Amino acid sequence: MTTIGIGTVKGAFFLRANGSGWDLEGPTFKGWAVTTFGRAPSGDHLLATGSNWFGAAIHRSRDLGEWEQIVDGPAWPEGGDRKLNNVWTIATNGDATYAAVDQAGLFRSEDDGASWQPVDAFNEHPTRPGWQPGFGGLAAHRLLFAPNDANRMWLGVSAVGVFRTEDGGDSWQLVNKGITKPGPEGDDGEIGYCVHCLVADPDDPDTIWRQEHTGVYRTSDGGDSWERIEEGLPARFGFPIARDAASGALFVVPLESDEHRMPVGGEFRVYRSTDRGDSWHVSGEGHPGEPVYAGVLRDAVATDGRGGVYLGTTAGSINFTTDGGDHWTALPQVLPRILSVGVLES
Amino acid sequence: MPAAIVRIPTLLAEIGDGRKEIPVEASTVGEALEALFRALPQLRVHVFDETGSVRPNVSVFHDARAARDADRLAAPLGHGAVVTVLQAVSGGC
Repeated sequence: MTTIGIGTVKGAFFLRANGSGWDLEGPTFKGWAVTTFGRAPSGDHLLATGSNWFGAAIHRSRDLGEWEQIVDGPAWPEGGDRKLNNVWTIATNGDATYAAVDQAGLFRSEDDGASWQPVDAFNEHPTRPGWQPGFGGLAAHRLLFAPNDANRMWLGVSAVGVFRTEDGGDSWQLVNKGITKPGPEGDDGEIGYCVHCLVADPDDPDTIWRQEHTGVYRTSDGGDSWERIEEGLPARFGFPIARDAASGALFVVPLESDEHRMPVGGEFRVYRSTDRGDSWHVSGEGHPGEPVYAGVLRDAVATDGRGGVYLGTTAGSINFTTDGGDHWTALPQVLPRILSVGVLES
Repeated sequence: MPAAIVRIPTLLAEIGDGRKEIPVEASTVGEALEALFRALPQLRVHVFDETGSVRPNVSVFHDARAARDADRLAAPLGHGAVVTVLQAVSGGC
């Protein structure tokens, strides 16, 4: 049975396929922001909560029903000047589970999520004194793994750039050549990029697509160089980028400029590329017929690998396709602002 | 040691064990919070931040008096005292 997790600013909801439609359950963690979903190596479900009042934590469940907070979760040292504001990504690679957090940091668990240690080579990177937050904070948020090499990973950090490690996290290099920075021209420093989202081709992990503050890019050499891929898009700005493993299609949700951040002309459209990013077109049928001035945030798109693409908007609505983007459907329910979407059972 | 009650808000009760009032034995406000964390260790990170201080948008009261700073946390508790942890009126949406 397919279960989709929807993380909102006021709790988690679960969509369960019932054969002819979807049942909506929740909210769980009512009143808490649910910032991301993940799995532990054992298969346990994990999710992260956040709160302007009570801070962030990771919780575990076997059945998506009973949840228990992980007491020894990611944490900056007491007495320091760093704060753990949110956990934006939980990702497992083999026996290791990673949490990427705001303020920017990476933590690793090697005991199924029970305890977490800082990845010092990233957290104390020599460029850290120059790291600056974007509007959404100083956040490490997107982690990619190379399926054929457990030592290779890529980590996106706002507003710093993309880092790559070739040695399992013992050292990290910035890989942003070819990306335009959002700031004034002439800044030739190695940081100051604003990556919003990354997605890779698991069969060719050196090919990565990137929704950046300044546009949509692709690398074919693991990040050593990037090129713009925006043909057909009505705007360069956006937050998520996703890939359907079944068809290889890519999806973005363009927004009008970094100043406005709304669908161009109120036309909410998911754009699809079926040629690895060379060109983009409005994806299929079923987009809203009336104006929609809501966007989709970085972690609010999930794919199931079988043509299913599920996205949640900042207005709390849910749109999905089960045929790789040929047909889109909007659910009638309206939730709080949606931060994260995960395919939890498929 | 005096018996006291720690009251916590709904959001914390729901990630604790459901109780909104936790009886403790403690001599000071700070000890009452530590007793709360011994019973429900997952709550520490939600009341104190990395500086070791009460989170900026969390309020602590000793009976009806604000008690978030170090001096007030060291204030002695009388028998039957109530320590209240509250979601502050700041910080929300």
